[in-house]
Amino acid sequence: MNQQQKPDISQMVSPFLLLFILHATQIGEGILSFERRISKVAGYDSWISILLTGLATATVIFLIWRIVPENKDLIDVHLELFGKIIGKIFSAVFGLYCFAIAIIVVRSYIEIIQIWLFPDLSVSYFLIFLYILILYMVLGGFRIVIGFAFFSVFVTTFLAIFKYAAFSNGYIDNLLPILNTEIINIIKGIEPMTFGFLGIELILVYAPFIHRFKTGLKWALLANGLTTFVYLYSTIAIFIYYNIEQLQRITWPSLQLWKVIDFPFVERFEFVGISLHFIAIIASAALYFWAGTQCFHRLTNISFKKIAISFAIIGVSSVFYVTNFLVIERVTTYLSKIGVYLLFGYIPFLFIVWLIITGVKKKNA
Amino acid sequence: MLIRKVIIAMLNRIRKKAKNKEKQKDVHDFSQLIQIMEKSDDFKKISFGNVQSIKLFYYHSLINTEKLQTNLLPYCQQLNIKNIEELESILPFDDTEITSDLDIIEEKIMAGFIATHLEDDTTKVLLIPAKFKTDRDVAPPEIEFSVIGPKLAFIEDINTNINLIRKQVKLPQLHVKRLQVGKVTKTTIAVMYIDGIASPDNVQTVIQRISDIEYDQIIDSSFIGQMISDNAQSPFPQLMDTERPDRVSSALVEGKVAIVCDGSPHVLTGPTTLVEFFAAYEDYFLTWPIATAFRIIRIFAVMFSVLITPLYVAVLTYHYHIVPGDLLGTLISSRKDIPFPPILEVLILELTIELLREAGARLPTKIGQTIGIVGGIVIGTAAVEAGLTSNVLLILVALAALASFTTPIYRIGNTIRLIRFPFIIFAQMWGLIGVTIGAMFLITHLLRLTSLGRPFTEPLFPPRWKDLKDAFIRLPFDLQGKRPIYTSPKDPNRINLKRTKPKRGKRK
Repeated sequence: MNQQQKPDISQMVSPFLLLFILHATQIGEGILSFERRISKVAGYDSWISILLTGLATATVIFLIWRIVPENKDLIDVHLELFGKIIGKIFSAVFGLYCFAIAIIVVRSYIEIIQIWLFPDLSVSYFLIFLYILILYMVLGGFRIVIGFAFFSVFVTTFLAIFKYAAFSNGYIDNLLPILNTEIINIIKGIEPMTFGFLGIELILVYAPFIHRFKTGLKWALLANGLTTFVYLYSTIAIFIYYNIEQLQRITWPSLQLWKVIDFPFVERFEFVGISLHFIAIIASAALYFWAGTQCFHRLTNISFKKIAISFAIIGVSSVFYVTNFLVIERVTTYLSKIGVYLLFGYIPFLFIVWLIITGVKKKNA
Repeated sequence: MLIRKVIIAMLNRIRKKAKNKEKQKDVHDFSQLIQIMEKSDDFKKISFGNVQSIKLFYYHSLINTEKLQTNLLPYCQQLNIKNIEELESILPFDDTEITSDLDIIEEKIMAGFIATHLEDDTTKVLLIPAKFKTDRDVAPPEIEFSVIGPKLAFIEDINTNINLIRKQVKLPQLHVKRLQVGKVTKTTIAVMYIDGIASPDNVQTVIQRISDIEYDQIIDSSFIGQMISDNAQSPFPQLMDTERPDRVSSALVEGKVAIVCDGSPHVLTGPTTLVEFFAAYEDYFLTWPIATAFRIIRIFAVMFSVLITPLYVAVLTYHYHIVPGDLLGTLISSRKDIPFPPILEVLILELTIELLREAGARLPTKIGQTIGIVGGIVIGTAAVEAGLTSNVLLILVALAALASFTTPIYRIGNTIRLIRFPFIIFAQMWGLIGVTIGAMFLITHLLRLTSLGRPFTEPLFPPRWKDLKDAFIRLPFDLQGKRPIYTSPKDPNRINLKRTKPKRGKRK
């Protein structure tokens, strides 16, 4: 599909949709377990870490808008800043990173499904269907992937409402006193929290698909703000409901919380919740998958379809190399670290290089 | 790439057409045409006259003989007709034509015209309309019935249908473009749109796609609908088909394009969106809160109809923990004698209902009713009493079938009944997760669909909040000041807000 090389008008979306795209990529598997990770570091004050992370990622978004010119993406920027060979290597690494996240997000959610719903689920069989679904989305073009992400936002918002159970059953005193933890620990809390904010880096790839990209900054910042709010709300709900020792022993606090909800027709809400949240997972996985494919497509000129299919096969075969929960947890931690370095190390680095090079060019001119 | 493919395909088609035309030129003059036609026994040749012999050619089965006898024959007896123009001027017909073009002559004779020429001059042929009207009268709509509002439905005749539309849209800018499609049936298709409102892009797309059709028979507008829709493999209809002239007129005013096909009582309009299929035209005859409530009920009915049996399978096969204790008691007591797993039970009942519907649709009306009663009541009760299916499921399946009939457009009702089955299979495979996967496939499929190149899921995605005024809710007319965005009308304003005045005599 040649038109994927440079987007044509029928694949472009309005900048307003950045609100949904970004929010959908950020809210994924992270929201089910991040409270455990951050409270390990920063205790009850870790909600401050979320605010700090929100601020830091907003800065990163701002930098991205400075780096990427209209109608250009990361591959162009790499070429311009680092030349052909190094630039291509960087882009390829970025593409691989996208695929890795897509694969691990899907795989780790399957772990949840195995633990909560189907202990004897045939993973390979299940993965085949999921990757067919992802392929169906991704091969439809950017707009389809975005459309799906758009609908997934409504699902996650709907599910967020059900955290109300914590407020009616919890102890608000849990949060007090504020600033009980050392400030250095609160800052350390940024690192595990960043995994929940990943998704920003994809803007670098889909930037040329946004109409009037430069005007989209406010929507991206708004999306980041919305994500911060959702995480904050979720954390406060969980902290009110659990005490910190208990929280460390619960892998997915949100799922445990859903257990107390009951309606006259639904008693175990977590089953419904896990099924619905799957939509959000697939939405963010599909976006990462699309971004990875687009990266390699731009780099190699091989058709979009071929790359997507071959990576889907690699995704399905992940059943052989991501075999158990420990591997998933380890890979997630690694990827989370890479994500942190990417957001807070690599993008500022790109920005500095960009500043230097544009400065030199101006001087020469 | 795709666009290029389409263009190449179209070019090829045009080339092929050109070739075909060259080939078809085996009829060179009028007498040869008559030779071909007179092999058919209902073709008549009459010749009479004194000074100049007048020859008449026509299909006995196509023309109105009464017209021939009262309006034509007496005039032909006049003695002093010297040329064909003179004959034309004295005949009391309004649509006569003198031509030498064989294509036109052939077409008109086949459409119920009488061909006339004077003895020595076969180059000038006079064509006299004497069509035998076999069409039924305009009747009230049967498929899209409405309690309030006009009771008119289209019939099989294209001119009557255009007339019904023109009666409501009294505007010279309402253009009709006639096309002829179908190598054998030579069906007349009329593309209608309002110049100045409809987007020229849409009109161009429709006309081009219809004229590119290469097929031998076009019997009904649904042939056209399947051939020109963007994704012919989809179970979802991508063009609205309706039998109500008011719905078509309203679509034209909104800037859509209508396709009227001769011989079909259904008119297609496009571009359309998914939510439009759940809007009955009666919604506009009711006040907006009521209309909105009915629309929302209809959409819930559709969701219920698609999801209820898959959820039954999912919950009873894998997730019985979800069901609260009291409800579980009811379910268990109704299922305790059933020998089948939920999936089989559901499939049997769903197929039975489909069987009943299909039998009811194929049989004559009176027998159909009997079958409905026998099937619905007797088989249903007997199946439950024999312990083959549970009461609860019988209720659910019947409700789901009922809900699928609430859609105002018959075509989408079929789709809804069909897409339930993949959901049931997914539910059997992976329970609730399976239902979610099915829903994701469905959403992706809907997102990929387009209607004349416009997104099918609009106004949900791409989100166009302004078009939501007439999607799930129908806002009052004073808030419907703009035409829908997805038709990209040339003139987006329905009303001039500056000229609107407050109501007089209204008490505070």
